[in-house]
Amino acid sequence: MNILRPLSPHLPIYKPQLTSTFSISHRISGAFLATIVFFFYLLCLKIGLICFTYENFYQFFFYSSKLILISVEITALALSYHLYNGVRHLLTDFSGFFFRKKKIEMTVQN
Amino acid sequence: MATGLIRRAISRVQVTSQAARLLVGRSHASDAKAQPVESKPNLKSFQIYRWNPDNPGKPELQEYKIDLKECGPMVLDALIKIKNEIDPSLTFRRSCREGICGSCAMNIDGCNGLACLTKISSDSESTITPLPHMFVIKDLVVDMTNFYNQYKSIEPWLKRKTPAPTPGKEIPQSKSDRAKLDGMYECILCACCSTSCPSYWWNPESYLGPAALLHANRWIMDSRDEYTQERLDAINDEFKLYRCHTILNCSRACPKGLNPGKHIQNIKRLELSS
Repeated sequence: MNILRPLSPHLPIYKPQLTSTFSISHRISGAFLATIVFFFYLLCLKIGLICFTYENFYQFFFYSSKLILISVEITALALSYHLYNGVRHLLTDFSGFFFRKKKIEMTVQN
Repeated sequence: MATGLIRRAISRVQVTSQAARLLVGRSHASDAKAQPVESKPNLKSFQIYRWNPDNPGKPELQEYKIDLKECGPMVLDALIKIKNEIDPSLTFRRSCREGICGSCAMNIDGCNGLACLTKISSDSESTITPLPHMFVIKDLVVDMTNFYNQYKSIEPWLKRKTPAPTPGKEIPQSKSDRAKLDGMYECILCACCSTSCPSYWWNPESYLGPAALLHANRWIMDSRDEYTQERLDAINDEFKLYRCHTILNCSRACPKGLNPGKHIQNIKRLELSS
């Protein structure tokens, strides 16, 4: 008798914990910042200011000019969050290195 | 003890005052003048995950209403009451009812924990589902085979290259070395931590999970074990160990208060310096 067993619910039912929220926000902000950096690289370094001479491009920037302020705010939020959380990770994950440097005990009997 | 003394004192003195009669009467359980107390039942509804392999369909949440005044304080008491009085087909694992066997691990109101140690919350509704991202055998019982195999794969026994210093006697271990095992040996393998880890959800077969890694660290840190380097090399794998991204949901979920995240970080630190 071949019955496919269901998988118990995970993401839909698990209560968002502080720890998991920090972790996923770090990942999302990191991905967001990476795309921002990539698009800025493409726009500023690859194409340059000549992009504004293309009509469609200029139209797009003109009509979305009001949104630029809010997206800059969001990017600043993502950057600051990612930075602080990164520093927190460095401090907590590598605390063992700094405090136990004097006596790195590998509990080997030889 | 005090009532007994008072009773004997009064019977010797033979005081028949109202107060003395009341004190004597207190020792008797039945009191004909007692007023019948009108108790409104404190109903709480439990939404419990149900799935029957004999009649497979879509898993569903079934609602049960329990009077909390007639029920013990823990979620396991509610589950047993439901099974005894309302629905005997409700299936769940349980054994010790005191938080030491790890059988009754399940997801209560969105957080993993032991049903025998989780108090019933005073909200009007509670949702009980099995451990997340595990294959369901029936209702709240999940398939733990993969979890146990991962525990077995880290070889959780003492391995030595040299014989014991005094043959036939135990291998001596100092108190400070034994103290290094505190926080790891108490693990009851309930799987609350591993099934709370999103990384374990997405890679259940390749990532070992916080429980197995906690036990790996327990054997790595054991001063009597001589295969430390081999143990470190065995898990020095991109998937077995390094799927851990220090999400730290495991330490939040552990019902025994252990910290698997800290011990996984210890393994990573040792890997770096070896």
